[in-house]
Amino acid sequence: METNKLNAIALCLLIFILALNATGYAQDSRPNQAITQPTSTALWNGFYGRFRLSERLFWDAQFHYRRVGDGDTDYVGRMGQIYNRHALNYLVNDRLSISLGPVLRLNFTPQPGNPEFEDVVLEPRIWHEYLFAMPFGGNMAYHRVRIEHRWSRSNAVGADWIFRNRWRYKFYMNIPINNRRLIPGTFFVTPDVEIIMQSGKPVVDSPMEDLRINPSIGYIQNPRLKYTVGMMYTTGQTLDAGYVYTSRWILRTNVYISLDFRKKEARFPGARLED
Amino acid sequence: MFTSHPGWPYRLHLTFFFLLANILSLHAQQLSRYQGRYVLRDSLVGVADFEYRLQQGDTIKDGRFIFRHFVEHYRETDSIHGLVLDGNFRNALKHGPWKYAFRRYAVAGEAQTTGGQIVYDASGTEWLINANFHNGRAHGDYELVIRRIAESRPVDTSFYSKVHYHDGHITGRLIGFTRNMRVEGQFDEEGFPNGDWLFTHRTGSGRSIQELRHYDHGFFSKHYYKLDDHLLEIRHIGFDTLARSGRGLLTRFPATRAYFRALGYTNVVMDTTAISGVIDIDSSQQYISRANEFLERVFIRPAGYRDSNVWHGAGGSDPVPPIRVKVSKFSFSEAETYLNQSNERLLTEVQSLIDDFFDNPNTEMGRFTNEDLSRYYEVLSIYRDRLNQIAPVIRFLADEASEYVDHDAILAHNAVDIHYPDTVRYAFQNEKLSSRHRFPPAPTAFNAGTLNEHLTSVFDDVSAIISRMEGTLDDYQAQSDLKEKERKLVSLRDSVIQRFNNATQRGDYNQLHREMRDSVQRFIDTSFKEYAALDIYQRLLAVDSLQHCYSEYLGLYHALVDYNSRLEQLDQQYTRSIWNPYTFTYMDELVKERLYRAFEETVLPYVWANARRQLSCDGLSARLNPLEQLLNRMAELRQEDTKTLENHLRKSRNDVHKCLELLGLRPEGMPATELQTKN
Repeated sequence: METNKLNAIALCLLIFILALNATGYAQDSRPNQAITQPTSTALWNGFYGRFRLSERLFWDAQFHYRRVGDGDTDYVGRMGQIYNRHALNYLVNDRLSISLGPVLRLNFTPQPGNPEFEDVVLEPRIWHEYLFAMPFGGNMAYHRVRIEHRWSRSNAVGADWIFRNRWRYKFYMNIPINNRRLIPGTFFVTPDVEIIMQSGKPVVDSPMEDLRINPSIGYIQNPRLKYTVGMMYTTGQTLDAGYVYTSRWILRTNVYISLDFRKKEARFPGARLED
Repeated sequence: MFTSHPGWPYRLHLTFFFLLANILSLHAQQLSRYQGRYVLRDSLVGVADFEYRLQQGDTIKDGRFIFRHFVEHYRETDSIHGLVLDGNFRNALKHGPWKYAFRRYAVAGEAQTTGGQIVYDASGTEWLINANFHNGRAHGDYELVIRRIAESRPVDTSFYSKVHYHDGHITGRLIGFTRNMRVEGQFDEEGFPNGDWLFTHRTGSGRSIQELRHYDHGFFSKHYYKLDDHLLEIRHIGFDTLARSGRGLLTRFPATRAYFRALGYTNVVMDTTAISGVIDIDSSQQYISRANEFLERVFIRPAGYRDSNVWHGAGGSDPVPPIRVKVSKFSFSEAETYLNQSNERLLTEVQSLIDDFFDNPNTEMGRFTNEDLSRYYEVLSIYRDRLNQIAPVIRFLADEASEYVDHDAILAHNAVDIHYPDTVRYAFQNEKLSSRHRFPPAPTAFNAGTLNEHLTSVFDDVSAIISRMEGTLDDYQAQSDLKEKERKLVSLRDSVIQRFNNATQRGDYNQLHREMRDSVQRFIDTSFKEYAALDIYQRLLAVDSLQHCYSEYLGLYHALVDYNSRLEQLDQQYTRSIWNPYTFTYMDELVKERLYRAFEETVLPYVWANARRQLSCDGLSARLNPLEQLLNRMAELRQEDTKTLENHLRKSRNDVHKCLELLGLRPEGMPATELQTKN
């Protein structure tokens, strides 16, 4: 019952996002068919930290080191972005958490050495997230709704700041392979699909910023540490011309760390009604 | 009328009348009435209603007295029993008619109401004594009655006798009857039965037979059956019917049970030649016994009911004594009396010895496997038979009633022929065998001395035989005990095996049982085989301890249930549950992991293997001590700071010797070499 409710919420949100951007399709001088840019590659190395501060409050600290293919060097050719995402995460209950916090992204020049581009441009964001967890059997499924408010500008020298909103919905699962439950020592697979919509004045005909299909495999080292690795495929509209689509293959490696910063005596787990 | 007769005679009468009225009034005022709880004979609690007056502090009963005592069993059996004592006192002495009634009634019929009461009819039996007293002495008719009551009405009188007392002395005629006999007799002035006493018996066929007893002032001198005016004399051998025979000493005494037992002895040996062919002998003895019973009731206990004197409790009367009789007494000397009593005790003792021997089931079992037992079985059988023959003689002589008869004449008439064989013949394991046994000489005469000599010899021989066979019988007893114990042992053994093999699918069967199973099975098999190979005496010595041992193994099963539960508890204690915010799940994690791993992977398997190895009966619980200590220590360490210990364990987690030492658990006396076998 709870699953159905969450699915319905997610669907409504998606329709809302699509409707919000429907006006952007009425453009003149469009080609007759979509143009797909050449597929690019990238490597995202993520560090995810979630540190428990109190019974329900966590500090969410994420760091990404991203490289992109350049020239003949796929995946790691040049520096892409460095990404700092922080938030306060409130655990409403064992099935829902809410996060709110800032992001500071460093966007590196797409053409290193070209004076027409600034080497590094900052991109601040405010983000909030609503994560719903659904156990079924020994597996877990998740619905994640993330909303970002971003201020960005191109690396081009003298480029203006633009403001956009991002509307993200992600569905993913953790399916244990060698155990019945997600316990230390478990390998698991994670089917992961996310759609990212955007809105704002600059968004004329490109509401769908990105569709990410990101299957990965992971391992739980212990209750505080897990790893995942996966190959993500993304496609989406470019901001300037909605009929121009991008596509990327991104190799992702992530480390997830969760520590308890509470005093020892406060670490007794709460009563559980179910696993 | 007063006014028509003036003058002094009138005044005199008037004065006398007032004086008399005054005295009567004073007397009447002094009488009081008591109604309430009353204790009769210091023990019988009931309710009394009587009139009395106080005289110098004493209660002087005067007037009607009624005492009732009833015990109700109404709720259980619808029955009630009790007594009523009803009569009159005059100046504290019984005076006038008195009645004692003991009633045992049961409810009969339907309930009826009369006024404010619920009334039932009753059926049962009433024992009644109707008497008359004069100034505290029996005086007048005196009746003994037993009758049956049906639906509150007397329907059948089973016993009746009526005599007459004068100033406390019985006199005159007696008439009485039972269901099948009428009695008429009389007493002389001194209260002795006298003259002809006629007992008219009704036979089964309805015919009447008259028995006539003639008393000479208390002396039973002649005994006849009277048939069609013909007298057929009955001679009681040993009962002197001639008061002046000179053979005994004429004695007068109140009739006792012994007197009537003496008559009974003579019945046994009476000469019935005269009535032979006329009256059936058995019936004759029955008639005589019936008459004796009647007389015994009337003579011995005229005021008795169940051994109590019914008039005694209320007081105010002289005792109503038994009827006196006369008899020729053949007294024993003091030495003879002593020997007769000794003989009876000796007889009882030796018979008891023999009965115990035969009642012992091991005797019956053993005589088929032990020749001595078989032979003595036969010897004691002979003794038992001979003692049964002479027992009536010994008991007769020990009875005081034998002094009221010519006991020599009775014994001579009823001579007992006893002899012992020289050789005992007996069968043993399908063979007929014989053996000489020195029995005591048979008694040549039946007097106190001879019998005592014989009984002493028999007692000595029987005692010697019993003593000789005691060891053998004890062995059989031990074998019998052993069988029972072995039955329990086998049952216990099977229980242990079944438990450890989970034959009964118990819910508490666990991994520890499973791992212990083979060791237990091996031990049980070996120990039982070793036990079974022992001879019977060694088994007798060993069975208790083996049974105890198997009980301990049964206890081990339960101990392992407990250990398993404690292991699970430890597992929980050393595990903590941590919330993972990425997976949204709780994940279990070992606490003090290095310590627990050392316990789980190194120390516990070693200690557990030691506990299972070479199981025996000796020190089974001691063998489990290290496991017990280990579990206790792990529970303690969970609460302690074990950082240092865990640092040490980093390098020696697989070294069981080192681990035990670090845990402070090195069992005393355990050699280091043994400890290191796990390395």
